[in-house]
Amino acid sequence: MLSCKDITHLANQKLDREMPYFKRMQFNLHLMICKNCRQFMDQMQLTLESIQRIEPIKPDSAVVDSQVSHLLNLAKTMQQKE
Amino acid sequence: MNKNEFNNQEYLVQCLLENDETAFRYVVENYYQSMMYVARGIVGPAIADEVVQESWVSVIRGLAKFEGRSSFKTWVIRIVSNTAKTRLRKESRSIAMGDALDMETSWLPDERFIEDGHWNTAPLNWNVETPDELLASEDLREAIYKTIDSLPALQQSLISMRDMDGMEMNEICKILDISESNSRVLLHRARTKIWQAIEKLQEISC
Repeated sequence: MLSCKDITHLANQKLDREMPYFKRMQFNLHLMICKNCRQFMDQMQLTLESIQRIEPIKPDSAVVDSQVSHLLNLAKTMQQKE
Repeated sequence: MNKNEFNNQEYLVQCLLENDETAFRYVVENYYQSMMYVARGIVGPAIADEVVQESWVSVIRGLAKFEGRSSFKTWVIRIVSNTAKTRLRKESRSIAMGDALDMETSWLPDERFIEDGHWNTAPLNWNVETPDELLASEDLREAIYKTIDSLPALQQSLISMRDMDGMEMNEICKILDISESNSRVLLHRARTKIWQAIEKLQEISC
């Protein structure tokens, strides 16, 4: 029988749908009888979906401006050399 | 120009070849952070920016040869990975694997469980139920960004490539030179830290 601690260790395999059949049966059986672990898995699923949907972290506008200007110069210089 | 048009990668590459400033801006805004995470994961934070700058040169040089066999972003990330590994070889160093070696540490504190492995402190109820609700909260969004920012370099790379960019695990393992089992442990640890950060804010709001 899996413990709640085991469930938290195996959560990732379940979220990524990579859990072998027998382990998955044991996992689901535990979830059927344990409200806290069901809550944990629901929250981990919500956490994962939120990470997948959050906007990518954009660099500061000063960094973007300097990188863009550097890249444009680089591209033009390389084209001139060719 | 509509930036959504750059989701078409052939069009994006064509615009980059024509030195279109908007296209360069799109690439920097959407790729720079991922490039930094990958570089940090391989060479560590001190010279990650230098590796990204060297990678830009290779990206621009190789643009005309991009064949579209992978996504453009994956192609760029591979260039960063190769540049970083070349840099390591030049400096006779090995990949910064500090956070990968400590595989046995539990990701949730032991005091959350009693001796037989059942919850001691059960997960709190959350006042959000969907990703839309969660991401609508500025505090929760900030908590996710800050936690990602504070993760060890390899965990940052993994969260960025796997969860934010949706890359395949075998591709990520090749890029970072780590085993699939190690990468799964690190990814799980990173996700659990983000779960904990969200839970902490629920605690405050209760």
